[in-house]
Formats: sequence, C-alpha cells, structure tokens
Amino acid sequence: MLDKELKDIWRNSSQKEKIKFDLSRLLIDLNTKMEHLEKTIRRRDFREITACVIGFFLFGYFAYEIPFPITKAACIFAMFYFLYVVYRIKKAERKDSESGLSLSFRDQLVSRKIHLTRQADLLNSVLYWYVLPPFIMNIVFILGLGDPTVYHWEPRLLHLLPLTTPEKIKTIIILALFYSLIVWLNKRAVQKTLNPAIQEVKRVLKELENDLKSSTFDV
Amino acid sequence: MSNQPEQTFEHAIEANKDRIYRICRIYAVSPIEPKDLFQEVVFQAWKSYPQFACRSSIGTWIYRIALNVCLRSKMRLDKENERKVQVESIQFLPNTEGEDPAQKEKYSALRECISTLTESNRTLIILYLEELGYKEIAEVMGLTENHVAVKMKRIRAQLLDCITNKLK
Repeated sequence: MLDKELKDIWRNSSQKEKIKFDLSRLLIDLNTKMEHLEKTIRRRDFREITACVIGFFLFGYFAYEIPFPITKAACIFAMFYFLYVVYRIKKAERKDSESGLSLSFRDQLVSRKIHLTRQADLLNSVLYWYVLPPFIMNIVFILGLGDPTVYHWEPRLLHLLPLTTPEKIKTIIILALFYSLIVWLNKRAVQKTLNPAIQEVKRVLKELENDLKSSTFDV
Repeated sequence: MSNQPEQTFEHAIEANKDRIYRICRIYAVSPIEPKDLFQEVVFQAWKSYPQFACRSSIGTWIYRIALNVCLRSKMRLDKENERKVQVESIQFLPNTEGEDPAQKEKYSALRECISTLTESNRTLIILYLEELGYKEIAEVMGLTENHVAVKMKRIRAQLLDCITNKLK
C-alpha cells in the first residue's frame, strides 16, 4: 500500500458525518458555556467563603461570650484560621486558570504532570494544612472549658458544651474520627484518581523521551 | 457584527472542522462520542483563543488544541472532560450517501493499526496523515524536525506493514 492510499483512507474518514456551524450563534453559544462554567466556579468559591464568614462570626461570638481564657484564645485562633482559608480561596481564584492547551504536545504533558503532582501533594498533605490546625484549635477549645459557675456564666446553649472530662474525651474522639475521615477521603482521591493520571502522563512522556533517545542514536 | 479576531476564529474552525473531526474519531473512547469530543475541542479552542500568540499558524495551533484535548480526554486527565459540552450551534448530520463498505473496512484496519502504536507515535502519524510538514509536526509535538523525520520513517513502515497485512 502506498502513502497516498493511506492518506486517502484517512481523509475520507471525516465523511461519516457532515458538520454544520450556525456561525451567527456559534460564538454566542461558546460564550454562554464559558460564562456558565465561570459561574459554577464562582458559586463554589462563594459557598466556601460564606461558610468561612459564618465560622468567623460564630467563633467571634464564642470569643466574646465564653469566659474561659484558653477557650477564648482558641476561638480567636479559629477566626484567624477562617481568614487564612478565605485568603487561600482568593489566591486560588487569582491564579491564572490557563489550561496549557496551547502548548506543544510534550510541554502540555510536562505542565499536566506538574499540575497533577501539585494537586496530589496538596491532597496528601491535608493533614498539616487543613486538618491539624482546626483539630488543635478544637482540642484547645474543649480542654479550655472550665466550670461555668466560677464565672457566673449561664448561656442558653450551655448544655451543648462538653464540660465534664468524659464528655470532653468523647467529643475529642468524635472529632478525631471526623478529621481522620477527611484525611482518608483525600488520600483515597490521590490513590484512585491522581496517581493513575500522573503515572499515565509519565508513561507517555517516557515513551517520548525514549523515542528521542533512540532517534538520536539512529541519527 | 463580528470583529476581526472573532471572524478569524470562526473561519479557522470552519476550515479545520474535518481535520478536528478525524482526530476526534481516533481518540474518542466510549462513552465519549467523536461529536462530544469535537464540541469540547471547539469550546477549549475558543477558551484558549486569547492565548493564541500568532507565533504559529492558526491551523497548527488548532491541531495542538485538538490533540491536547483528545489526549486529556482519553487519559481522563480532566474532571471537566467527563462533563459533555453541548454547543447547539454545531450540528452533526449523517452523511446521506452512507459510508462505502470498502472504505469502512479500510478505515477500520487503519484505525486498528494506529491503535497498536504508542501514544506519541500515534500522534505523530495522525499529523503525518493530515499532511503536515515535518516542521509543523515538530512545532505541534515540541520535538525537533530531525527527530520527527527519523521517527516518521520508522512509524510509516510499521503502519504500512500492519495495514497491508490486515487488508490482504
């Protein structure tokens, strides 16, 4: 078979379907899709920021209301933590969302590998930047709770606070389990989704690099 | 009324639609259909269009986008790609003449032979079949022209050998 025949078979393969564009609507449709995508991202960020703002004011209220100094300090740290999370979300928003699709095949794979590895590192380290700070604050908050009668403190929701040692231990165990679940879910996402994708990118890059080496050898 | 860059984009997509479709047909993996992939390529091309720096021709740039989108979809590298982009102003009409059975058989053989190649070789041969010059292929792939030339000789031989055997 000749090269020309091969190219003819290839060229004719687009005859299966005829593609028609309504050019008067194409860009309008594409822009609508893009806006929809951006709105979805904005809505997700808005939900996360709203949760942080609620958390900030809730712990602000706790810091004002709760008389125990250690718990008060934990509440103030929690408020700073919520501000930090908002900062991270805003920073991620500002980051250029360039997809790298305009790059060459090879550069795009390298850029994808870097991006996926960063994501995997981020999820693998949630224990340190996402879980431990609030967990430690929660522990300080709980351990700082003392005897309300000493401060003549009688808020309406007093019965919800773990004031006795067994209640405190029980609450800390529940929180530890909850935070462990978060760590596990993130690690699982890395194992199930990100690691296979990284391996796949590495495989194709290796193919390309081996090809380069063998081609150089051939030359 | 459309302005100049928008018109350039529209013309480029119109001029390259068959090429994009051929690439999508090779890379579409169930449940994603070639037309889903085609719409995704057009959408991503429009999204990336502000980054088109005119360093290469718009045709070469579209090849880059198409191959990158198709590869990401095949390798499931993007969660977004799992969501289908539906662009109503792009219509796919079945060819009324129908596909010639002999042609269909030859295409199946070609497709099978292409699928036996490694991912990078597959991309190279697709660009070759699209009749891109070695310089343009090198640009799309991020390789040197020399490497493309050497590799192409080997891949072409491999492909021709495979398809000749299949169509015996």
